[in-house]
Amino acid sequence: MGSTFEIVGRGLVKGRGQGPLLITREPISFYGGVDPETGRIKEKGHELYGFTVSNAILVFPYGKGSTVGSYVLLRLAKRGKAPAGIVNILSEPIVVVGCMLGGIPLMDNPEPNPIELKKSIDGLEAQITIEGKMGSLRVISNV
Amino acid sequence: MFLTRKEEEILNGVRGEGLALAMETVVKVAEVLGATRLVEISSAHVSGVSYKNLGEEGVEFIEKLADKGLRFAVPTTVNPAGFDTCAYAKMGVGSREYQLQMRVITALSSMGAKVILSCIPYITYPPKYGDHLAWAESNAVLYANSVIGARTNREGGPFSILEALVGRAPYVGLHTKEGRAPTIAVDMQAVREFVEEKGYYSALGYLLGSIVKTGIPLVYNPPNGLRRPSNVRLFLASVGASSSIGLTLIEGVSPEFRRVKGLEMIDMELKDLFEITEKWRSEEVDAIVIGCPHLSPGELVELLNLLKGKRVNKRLMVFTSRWSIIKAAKVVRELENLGVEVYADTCMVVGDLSTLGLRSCATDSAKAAYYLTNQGYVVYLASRNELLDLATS
Repeated sequence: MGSTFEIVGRGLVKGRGQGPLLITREPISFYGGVDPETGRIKEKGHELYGFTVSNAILVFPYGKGSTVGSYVLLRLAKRGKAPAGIVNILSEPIVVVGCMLGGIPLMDNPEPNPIELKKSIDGLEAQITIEGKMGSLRVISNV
Repeated sequence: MFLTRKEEEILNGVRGEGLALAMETVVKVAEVLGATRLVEISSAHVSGVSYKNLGEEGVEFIEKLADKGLRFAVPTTVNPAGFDTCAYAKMGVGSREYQLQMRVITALSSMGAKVILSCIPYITYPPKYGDHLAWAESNAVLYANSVIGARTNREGGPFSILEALVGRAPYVGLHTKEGRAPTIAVDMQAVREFVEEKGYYSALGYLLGSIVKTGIPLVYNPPNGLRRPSNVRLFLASVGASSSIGLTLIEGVSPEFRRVKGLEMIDMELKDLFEITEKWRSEEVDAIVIGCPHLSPGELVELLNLLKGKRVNKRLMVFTSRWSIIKAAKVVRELENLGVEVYADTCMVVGDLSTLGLRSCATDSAKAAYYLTNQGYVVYLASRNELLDLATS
């Protein structure tokens, strides 16, 4: 294992997870934008079009679109296809409710901002740990 | 965040883990939205009731809440479902879909919901000025805030179930006095006559939403016709479809309308309105679909008056609530005798028009036009009078 560095933020939904970082600058609409059976991003023109959110640490600025999107996160979680954790810049109710129902670890307000580090950390393995109000994302770099 | 003792107790599981999870979620969302406390609500309205949106897992989630013996803490109504619960066979609904939908309805009902299966709860159970609500379904939110002066944010479908269980909403946004102040002024002087003459209230609402997008518009010089409840409903539903707006302060309509100096002012222009009406000009019309939002009993009566003595030559479908049908039972029978198809519990947006044999349609609702276009239908948008002319020509 290489060296690690930590991104800290506000813990919103407790839990732990590990997976490769999947980072986008664009908001995600879970309803209509993500296939609830496979976790594949199907919104045409989206930066992550064709990628699968399953078991990744998914990083995006905030959720958008229909509030039914919360159920999509729940459906993914029940099928074992949910992200291993979610990091937002600023979470909004769709994602908070979906993560609560699906038991997906969630944090927002990350410092430093992982979206700005996309080039250097996208795809790297990371661990998310949410305990109380503390959120931690530990990025394991290969160097 | 400040919580009362009772709220703390629920959060700590004194009243069971199901209610604790609901309270925890409401508190989390409140924190994310920057609320400093919760507010007690007098009613809730739940959206996202169709089995198509819920999926097996969503259905199970609602059933689990019901199995735990949870009950809604406040009067709670629910949005339309995926089909008419009486005319489902005619609508081509499969047995698996039927089962799934009925499981949702049964679970919600066993938690104490008033299963109106309608998007116009403000007609069936009207709230009062100043009431705090947790309503999902944007047209209902806009009507409650803008016409009645009740207070609700645009809640999410799943979230509204949890708010209804704990009887509380985050005290933030449209619940607060500061959160209801207008953010931008819009003058409708240049378009009011044209809209009045043509009856294009829905396109007008869609345009307002597209221009303003978010915040609270203060509308000056609206067409007089917006004082009619049926017109303002069409108007507001379309504001909701093209924006995230939850309150529109309309001169002569909204109880909280006050003139405000110093706001940025936008003048609405006819050319922008034409852009909206030109968007939906399908040549093909398999059927005319009316009822987004659901028709009130009064609108059913109006419809019959407009059709009386004429022949309905084109397929004409009307979507309304079971409650409206019961209130206007005689009128509905007469409409059906004229060949009009009247459906309850569902609508053209959450139902499935393709099982009714449609690929294209004409409607008077820009909200329906927007969602049906996304579902792959070709749509013609016109005023209700124009649609009835089309049906009887």
